[in-house]
Amino acid sequence: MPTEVTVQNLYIFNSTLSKNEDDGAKKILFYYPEHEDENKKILNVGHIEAVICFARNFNANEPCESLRTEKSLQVLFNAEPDFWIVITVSAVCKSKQKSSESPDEPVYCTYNLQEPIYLAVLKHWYHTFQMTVGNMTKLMNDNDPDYLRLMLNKFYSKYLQSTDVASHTFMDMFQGISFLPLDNVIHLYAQSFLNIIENTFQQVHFTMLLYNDSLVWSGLNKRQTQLVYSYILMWVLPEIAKNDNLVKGNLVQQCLPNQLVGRFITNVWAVKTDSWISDLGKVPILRLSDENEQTFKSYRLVMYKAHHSIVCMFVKMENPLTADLYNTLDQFLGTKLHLLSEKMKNAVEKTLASKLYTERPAKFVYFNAMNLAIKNSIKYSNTAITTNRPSEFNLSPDALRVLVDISSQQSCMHPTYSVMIKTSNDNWVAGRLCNSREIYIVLNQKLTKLYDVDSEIQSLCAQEFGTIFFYD
Amino acid sequence: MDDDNCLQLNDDPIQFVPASVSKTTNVFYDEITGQIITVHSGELTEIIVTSSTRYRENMVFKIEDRGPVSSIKMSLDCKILTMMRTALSVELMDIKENTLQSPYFLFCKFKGAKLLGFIWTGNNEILLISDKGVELYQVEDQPKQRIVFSKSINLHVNWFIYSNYSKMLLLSMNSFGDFQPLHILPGNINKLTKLEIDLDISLNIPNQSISERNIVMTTVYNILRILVLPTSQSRNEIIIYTLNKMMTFKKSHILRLTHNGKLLINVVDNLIVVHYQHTKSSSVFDIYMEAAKEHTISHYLPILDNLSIKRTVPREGGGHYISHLYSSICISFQPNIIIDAKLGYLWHFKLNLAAVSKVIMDKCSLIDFLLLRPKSKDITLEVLQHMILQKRSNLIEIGNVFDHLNIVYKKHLNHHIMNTSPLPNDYMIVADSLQCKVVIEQLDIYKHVFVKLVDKLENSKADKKFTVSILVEYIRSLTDNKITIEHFLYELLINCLVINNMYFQLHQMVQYHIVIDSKPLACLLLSLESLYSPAYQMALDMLHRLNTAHEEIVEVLLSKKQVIPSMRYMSQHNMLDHSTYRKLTEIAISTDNSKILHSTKEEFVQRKVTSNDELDTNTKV
Repeated sequence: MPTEVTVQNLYIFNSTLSKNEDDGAKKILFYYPEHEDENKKILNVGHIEAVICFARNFNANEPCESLRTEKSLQVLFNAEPDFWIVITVSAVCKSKQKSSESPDEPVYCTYNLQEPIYLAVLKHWYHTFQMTVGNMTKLMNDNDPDYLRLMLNKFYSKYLQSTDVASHTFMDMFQGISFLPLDNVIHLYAQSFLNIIENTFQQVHFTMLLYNDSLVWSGLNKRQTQLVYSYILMWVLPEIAKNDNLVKGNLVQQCLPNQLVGRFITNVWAVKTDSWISDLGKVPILRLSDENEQTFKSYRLVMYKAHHSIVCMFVKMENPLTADLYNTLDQFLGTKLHLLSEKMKNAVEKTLASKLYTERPAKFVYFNAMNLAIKNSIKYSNTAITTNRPSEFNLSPDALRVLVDISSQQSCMHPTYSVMIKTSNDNWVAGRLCNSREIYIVLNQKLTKLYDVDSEIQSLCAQEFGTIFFYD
Repeated sequence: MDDDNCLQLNDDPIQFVPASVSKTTNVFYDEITGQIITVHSGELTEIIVTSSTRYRENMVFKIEDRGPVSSIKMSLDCKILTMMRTALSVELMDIKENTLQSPYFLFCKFKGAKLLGFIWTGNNEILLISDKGVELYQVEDQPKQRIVFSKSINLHVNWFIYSNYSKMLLLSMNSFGDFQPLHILPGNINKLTKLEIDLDISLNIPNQSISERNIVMTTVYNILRILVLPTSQSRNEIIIYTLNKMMTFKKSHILRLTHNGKLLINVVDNLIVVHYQHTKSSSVFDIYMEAAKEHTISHYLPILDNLSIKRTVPREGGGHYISHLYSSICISFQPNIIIDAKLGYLWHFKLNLAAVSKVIMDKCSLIDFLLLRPKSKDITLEVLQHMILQKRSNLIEIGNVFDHLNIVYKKHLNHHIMNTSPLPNDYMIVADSLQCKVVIEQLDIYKHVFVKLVDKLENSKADKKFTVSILVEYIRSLTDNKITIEHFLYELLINCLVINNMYFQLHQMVQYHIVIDSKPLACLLLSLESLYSPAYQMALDMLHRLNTAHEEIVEVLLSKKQVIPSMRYMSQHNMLDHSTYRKLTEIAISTDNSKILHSTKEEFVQRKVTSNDELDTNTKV
């Protein structure tokens, strides 16, 4: 049954900010929709506060994560001590035969809503906030709650505007990284190129290389890579796709008339940006944790694009971005990046050509929690800029929901797990977990024997994952 | 000795009685035997033979004076002293118990021929060269001295030069630059294609002629070459003719000289050294370096220029005095000999690589240069250490230098493979592509650069990162040249990454197969699990890809008490038998999980039943 999912509200609060009944609004740090009645805001927050307190009686160590009612699902994320982020979603069935008794009354199907998806979204957004703005507690202590409100508002409004949370499905749970399939020779060229950048420009602390929307190399740690990667996918690539002449005509271009081969990507949206020479070409400032994950350091993210590749350079804050630096970087990077990118293009095309894709009725999603690599049978072409939107995965919502269920089951089962489920429309959905890798398969085939399903899955695994230890 | 000089003379020159003692004293140097023979003419002629190579005692002979000696040589085995006094005959004297026996004579066969000289071409072969041709004789000492004629060639000869290394005799036929090369074989003479050396006809300079002084025949990079020195002031270049596989001399290189005037030529470590008497300086050319080409002929500029060679001569009483090498009294002999006949010294030239490494600024050229020199390994490694450990070079330069090293390394490895089938050993035709004397292998770089680099790592993050970058650069260069990378480099790379907490980078490298799979590396990764948990997955993948490590995989799984997965794996690879039963059961018990224990037992019960059934049916039938 088609379901229409809507986000009713999303709010962030800290109960300690309100001292008594009268200043209940103070504890609210962010509330969407903004124009909601003030009293309703306080009421909603108070309601969830009560739920949290109530649930605490049963398990003081693990906070309440979700609340399901007939009409809505509320997912709670306790991001920092006393800081809660709550999202409320509801689902309405769009069935053709409306219930005859009350034609105006919508039929709710909250059972179609799945907590893991929204929890993953909340967590991911929060971590991105942490990277781009900072830690909520610290922001509040260093400044005041109003400053935090401003920052949260800037960040969450933009995210809610740009993404449709309701359309998030199974694929959004992973926030995986698509790695570019390259042979070792080309990959070494890429590494060598990035090392040379870091060696030549002492200002550049870390580097990262993307080819289209695939990652080639990251000098950051796993967690940071994941956040920066999704940040670029979300804010940089769509902008480039929208307007390939992003920089043309603005003052950066005037200052750097020689950008022939490649160009800098500036004016990227970020809560905190840094400008050079009075507000020309803003670059995002990102906070990255150091080795022991305790302290954060801010870096300017300078991105340079040539051909299909983007090199991301994390420049230390103490080094100013001058027109001089931009010029020398441009001269240094342009041709080299272009040549490297062409090599990568040839290599990728070669591997794609060598892989003869026999049309399989099966679709799969592969995720490796260890290196966050994600792969799926649809998104294989690296030639066009695409996003991780699940629409491309083209699966029925039912199948996707089954996948979410399987995946949340699997996370409890270690170390190996295998499940095959027959859906209501006679398709098969299978999930396997082995060696920290998850693979989800949807067979659009009307197979009757379990053995046939299994052998189909096995042959798929053998074809796709011959080089990894994935037994069955 | 001045250590900053690129070219040096040896500290212990060979001293001989110089010609300056009296007017009646003559000094001869024999390039073939490397002997200096001093002849004091007088009523009783005294002959002193000084060896320049072997530290032998001087031989002194006294003979009656029978006229001035124009040429004197010892046979190759030092058993016969040969001398030429007239243009008609050569005089041979056997040496027995350090005394000369009575002479016997070898006369020129051609009538009216004027003898130009003689050469000992073999232990018992002597070649006479006259203006009418060449004659080859065999000297037999059994039972009695006897000279047997073996071969002669009749042609007009102006003068000749001979290279003993390749047994090549070059005869000047006229003064217009026509030459006849002869290859002297035991008992035979092989006539090669004539060589025409083109003089500067365009300038139309009269009286241009090529004399012995204009020609140097020597071996450079194992191939015989003829160097034609400038015949006129206008042509300021040396033209090199090289003997090719067809045994003909072809114009191959041109050396652009920086100065005019009289030259001396030496060859040191396959480098052509040109001494300019006029400017008292020397230039060094390397014909294996890359050079600009004009009409397929490479034109070379000196790689080292304006060098001056100092020599100090110990004086009696302790002091030293510096004398001029570039004076006209000095003579050069091939390959690297300089003789001062007046003072009575014979020096060997040598190249001071340490000084050269400070002079050539471009590191890639320097590395190319060093790899072509023998015994340059230590210096090459020092240069690398200087570049990397002292951080004198950037990563781009280091990468380029690695490429230069590894191109040679790869050639060497290929050569090694080819050489397993023995090739016909033609001593002269050595148009060998592999001329590099030194190969810097992975172990050398590892021992002399990387280990030291890791040792002196300061705690700063930039330093650590730099080490990883250099290692990656080296691996990149090796991979580029399709050289199999040795295990210790990977191990070091992994350790460096671990020290830097660059686990995700390590993960990416394994993922992209930059680290080539092997069992030891899989074990290393396994040991990292406590530091970086995904290492376990990487290790299992690696073992899986090896496809020969079934037992290891089972061990790894069992160490995690994954009884059921390992059992499944074992059954897939037919590894379940009685021997594994006990082990599996023990681990199953230790898991304290009754399900696992039951499944384990059930698996074996079923297997046993089936195997017993088979046995039963077999016995019944």
